[in-house]
Amino acid sequence: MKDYLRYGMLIVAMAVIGCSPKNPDPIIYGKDQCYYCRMSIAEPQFGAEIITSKGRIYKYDALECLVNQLSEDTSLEGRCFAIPYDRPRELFSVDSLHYIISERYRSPMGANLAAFYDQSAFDGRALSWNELNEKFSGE
Amino acid sequence: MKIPFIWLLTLPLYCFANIIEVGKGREYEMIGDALQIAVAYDTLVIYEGHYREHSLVVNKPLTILAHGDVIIDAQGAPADIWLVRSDFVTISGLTLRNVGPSFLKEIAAVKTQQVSGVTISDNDIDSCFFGVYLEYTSDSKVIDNRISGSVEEEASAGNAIHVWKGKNLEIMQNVTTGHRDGIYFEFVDSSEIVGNHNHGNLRYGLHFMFSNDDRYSDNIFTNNGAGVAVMFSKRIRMIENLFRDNWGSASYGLLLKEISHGEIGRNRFVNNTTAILAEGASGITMSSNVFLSNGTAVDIKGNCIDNSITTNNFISNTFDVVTNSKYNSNDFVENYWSNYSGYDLDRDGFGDVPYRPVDLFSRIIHEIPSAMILVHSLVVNLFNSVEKVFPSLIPTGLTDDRPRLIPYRYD
Repeated sequence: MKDYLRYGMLIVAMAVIGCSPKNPDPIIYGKDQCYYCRMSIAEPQFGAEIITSKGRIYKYDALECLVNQLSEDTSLEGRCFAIPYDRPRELFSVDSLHYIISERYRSPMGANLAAFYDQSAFDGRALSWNELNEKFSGE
Repeated sequence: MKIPFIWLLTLPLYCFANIIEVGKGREYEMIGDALQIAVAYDTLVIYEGHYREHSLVVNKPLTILAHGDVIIDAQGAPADIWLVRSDFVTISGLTLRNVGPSFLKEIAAVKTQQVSGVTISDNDIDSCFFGVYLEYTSDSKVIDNRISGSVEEEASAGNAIHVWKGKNLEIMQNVTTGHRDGIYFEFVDSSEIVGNHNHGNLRYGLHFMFSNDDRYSDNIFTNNGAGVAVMFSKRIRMIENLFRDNWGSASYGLLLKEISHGEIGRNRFVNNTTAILAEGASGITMSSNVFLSNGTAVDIKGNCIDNSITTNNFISNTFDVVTNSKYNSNDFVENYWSNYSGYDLDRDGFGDVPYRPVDLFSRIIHEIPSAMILVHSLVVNLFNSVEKVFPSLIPTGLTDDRPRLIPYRYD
C-alpha cells in the first residue's frame, strides 16, 4: 500500500513538473549555437530564444536571426525572449523590450539591431516587437 | 618624368621631419605630451619603459617606433590605447596591455577610424578586449603582431583583429589566440589574409560576413571553437590553409553559409569533427584538398547547388560525405576515397564501379544522433554493404563515377 502511495506521488509530481510552463534556458556563451545561422553564440549583449508551442527551445546569436526565422517559417510559434543590450546575458520577454536599429549597435548578423530594457538607455524612437516583425517581413 | 617631380615637391616634408624622443630623462616623459607637440610626418621614438597611458589620439601622419622593451599599459581602463584618426600612421614594435573589457564600446589596443595607408606591425598585444580594430579603413597593413586574449573571461573577449568596412587590406603573419574570433571581416572587400596562425580562439579562427573578393592563404587554424566561417560572402578564395583539431559536437574546420563562387584549393583538413559544413553554398570549386582523419569530411546540405568537388584526397574519415537530401546537384568526380573497394580492369587509374560516398549509417546518425555508439559494428557494416548494392535511402545521384585508385600527390 505504501508503495502505491509513493508511486502515486511520483506520478503527480512528474505531471506537475511536466505541465508547468518552461522558463527560458539561459544562453551559454561560447557553447550554444545559433539555430538559424549556426554561429556559436558569443556576444553577451545580443541573443534571443524561442520556446515553441511544443516546448522546444531554440537559441539565436542575434535577434535578427529569430526575427528572420519567424518571417520565413510561419509555422513557428511560441514565446520569444531577447537579451537587452543594457542588461547582458539576461533573457526578457520580447513584449517588454524596445528595439533600436542604428549603426552604433553592431549586432552579430549585421542588422545593427539592439534590444533595450531601459527606455532611457538610448536616443531616438524605438520600435515595438510587432513593428520590428513587420519591418523584417516586409524586406 | 612625372613621378620624380612629385617626389621632389614632397622633399621639404622629409627635410623638416623631426625625431621626437619619449622616455625617462628624454624630451618628453609621457607619450601623450609628445603627441601634442609632434607635427605631421615626425617620428616618435619611444624608449624602453613601462608607460601607464591610454586614449592616445593620433590625428596627424606619424611614425611611432619603439627602442627596447616598451610596454604601454591601460590598466584595465575601458578606452583604446591608440586611436588613429589620420592617414599614413605607422605603429610598430610596442607591447600593449590590459584594455577593458567593456560591454558597451568596442575598445581596442589599436583602433583606426576612417583612414588609409596605416601600418600596424610587430606589436605584442596582451589581454586587450579587442586587439586591432579597423573601422572604415583602406589600403592598410596589419603585419607580424602577436595578439593574445585573457583566457579566463573568454565570453567577454573581443576579436583579435576586427575589421568593420574596409578595402585593400593586408593581414599577414599575425598570431592570434584567446579571443572571440582570431580575425573578423565584416563588410571588407578585396583584401588578403596570408600566413597567420590562429589557435585557441573561442569562436572562429577566421570569420567573414558580407565580404567579397577576398583571399586567405597559408594560414593555420587549430583548436578554435571552429576553424573558419565564411558567411554571406561572394568570391572568397581559400588556398593552402591548414585546418586542424577543430573538435567538438558543434565544431567544424570550415563553415560555408550562404556563399557563392568561391574557390577552396590545396587545403589540408586534419582531425576535425566536421571538415567542411556547407549550407546554401553554390558555384564553389573544391579541388586538390586533403581530408585526413575527420569525423565527417564534407557535410553538404540539400540547398547547396552547382559545386564541384574534384581531385581531392579523402583518407580515413569516419564519414566521407554526409547530406540531408535525397537528391544531389553537385559534382563529385575523380577524387581519391580510401574507403573505396572497387577495381580498375582497364588500368586507367580510376575505378570502374562508381563510389557512393554517403553511407546509410550517416543517414541514421542524422535522425538518431545517439546511434553513434554503433559505429563500426558488424550490424552497421552489414547495413552499409547492403545499402551500397541496393540503394534505397542514400541519394542515388551522389556518386563519384571516376574514383581514383591511388591518392594524389600535390607537392
